[in-house]
Amino acid sequence: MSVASRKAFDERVERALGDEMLQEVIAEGQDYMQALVEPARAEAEWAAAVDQIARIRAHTLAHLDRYVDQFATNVEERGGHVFFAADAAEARRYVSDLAQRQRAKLIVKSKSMVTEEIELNSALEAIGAKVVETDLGEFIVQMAHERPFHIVAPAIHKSLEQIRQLFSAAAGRQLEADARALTDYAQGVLREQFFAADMGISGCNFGVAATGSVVLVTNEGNGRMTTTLPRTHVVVMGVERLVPTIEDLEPILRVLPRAGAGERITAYVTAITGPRRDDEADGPREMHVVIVDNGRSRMLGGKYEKILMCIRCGACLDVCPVYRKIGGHAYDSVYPGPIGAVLSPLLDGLQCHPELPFASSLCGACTEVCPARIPLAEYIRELREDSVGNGPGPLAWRLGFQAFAAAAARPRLWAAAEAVALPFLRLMSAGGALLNGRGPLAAWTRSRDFPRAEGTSFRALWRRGQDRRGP
Amino acid sequence: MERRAFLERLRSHLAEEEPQQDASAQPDLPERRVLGARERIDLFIDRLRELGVEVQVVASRQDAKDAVERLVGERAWGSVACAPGLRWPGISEKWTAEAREAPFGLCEADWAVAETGTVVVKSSADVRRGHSLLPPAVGFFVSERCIFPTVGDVLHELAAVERALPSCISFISGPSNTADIASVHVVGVHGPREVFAWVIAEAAGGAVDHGSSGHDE
Repeated sequence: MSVASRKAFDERVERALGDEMLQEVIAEGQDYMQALVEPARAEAEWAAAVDQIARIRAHTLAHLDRYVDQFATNVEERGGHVFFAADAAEARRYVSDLAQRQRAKLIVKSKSMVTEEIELNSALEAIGAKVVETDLGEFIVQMAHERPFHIVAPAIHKSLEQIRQLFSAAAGRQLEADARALTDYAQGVLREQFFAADMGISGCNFGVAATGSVVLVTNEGNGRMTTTLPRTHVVVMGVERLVPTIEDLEPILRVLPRAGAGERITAYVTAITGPRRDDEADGPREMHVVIVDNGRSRMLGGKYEKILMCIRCGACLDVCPVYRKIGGHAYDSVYPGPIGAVLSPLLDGLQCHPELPFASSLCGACTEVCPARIPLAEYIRELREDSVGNGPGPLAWRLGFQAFAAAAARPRLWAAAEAVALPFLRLMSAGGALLNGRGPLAAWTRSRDFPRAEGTSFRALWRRGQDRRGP
Repeated sequence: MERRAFLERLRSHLAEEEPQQDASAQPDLPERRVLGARERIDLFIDRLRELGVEVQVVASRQDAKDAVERLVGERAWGSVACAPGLRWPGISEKWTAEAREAPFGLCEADWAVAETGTVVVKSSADVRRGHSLLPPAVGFFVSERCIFPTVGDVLHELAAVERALPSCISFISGPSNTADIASVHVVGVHGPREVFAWVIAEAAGGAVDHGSSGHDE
């Protein structure tokens, strides 16, 4: 881990920890989500459905090439266009070129993590298009020029008052600090945009290989508006978002709403298969599906493959004790929380997020709640291993480990080191006190007691035992 | 990237395995929930109410129409958006409104799901996506016959016609909602705020055939 990235990470963490209001809002948000989700997890059918999801996702990944091929063929057969994007740049270019060709000035978007990942909005803004996020949470974070704080609740870190101030500034009048009134304001603004938009961009919760359908799971109705009103609908999806058949959606539709927000089902589940038919009176005339690899194929067949089984429910964020303290923005990656601690280093390279595998207590709560049975905590530990194995690490670590290796292999050297270290440790921890957060061990001792060095060393005990037993 | 190269890149990371063509290679699906007809209808109605849907059980299709006309009158709705096939003799010009302008949209459910209180609507030449989306209030005619126990059952029906799926199928469960502002649950965002359902008894002989878009008997 480079010193600079570590420092930047520490600063982001400090900022979050020092923000009392943020601490309160994250804790409240997590408790709110937990209270919703916990009863759903206790339902008898949960475990069976979760096992099925894991099976379906593993099966799909094992034959992903075949299912992508089948999906693309079916999208095209139903009149849609398919583009295969090797990376973020290719995906951005395709959508920007399309927007330019169609002279799309106003683009509405429904919530999509993958478009965040490929930084699509800035690319579209660069060609002069106005991009409007229409999910209420995304609308708020776009207005605040921030990243989503949570996968399913992007603005969960904003208080009612903060949102009131944001909206009031945009409206040019004082709005009431009331969720209903603020929702109505956003709805009014966005409704006009939906009708005026030239292009609608959505993500894809799941694509069905056998039919070429794109399935969206939403609550607000903005997903339906985005995919119904503009003349062109662009779907951006990660290559792993497929299921083989429409029936494979059953356990997923049973679990995803429950895991995400404790709902039996979301208000809307929409299956879109191609653009509108010639005889239909509404719906987009063109549909483009952009299938994005962007590092995913690298994970196939490897030790981290199961991360591609993620259904983006956000359950791991809702139970993570580290996320609870540092919040979504400290991760400085599109995907926060335990899923982000694994996925972001795998997508962008460990060198881009060297600190993320360490943003975990390894308590395993994420692994326990994951409805796709992804071993998140285990992956985090493995990534730590990779990060130590990959690079030389900080100089102090290297010297420390070298010194330890040298001493551990030479009994006399060890004995000499012990003779110096023990009195030093006794001195440092005199009176059972701690180090008071000073010196090189400060990061450790600031929040933990430094144990008093007591009694004798193991080697001395061992010697005594040997003496007593005799030769 | 070229399609072939893209697929090849995926393939290069996967184990060499015979593609599995038959359904037996697919993951197992759960046994479908068995519910008696009465149980199914009662559960559907309970779940709709839990979602905040205004439900009325009616003896015939004619009763359903009368109930809609009464509601439209009571609310003084100036116009209604619905599929031409859903209009019946005697209703006025105002039933031909654009969904965008109308305060009320009327639809016929193609399927319904008891366990989740869901109505399922297919887009077609007759039925616009906007009918169930754009007005602030929407209502659904639901024939008892088209109520299935679970979402999985409806997916099973869809799988049978997978080559002929319409461009849009909407599973609708109650009004649109959000909790994106300070985790406060607010009903009614971009989609309708109010949802009505008229469950039409099958025994009365007034129900439509499953799958038709609700023409008059």
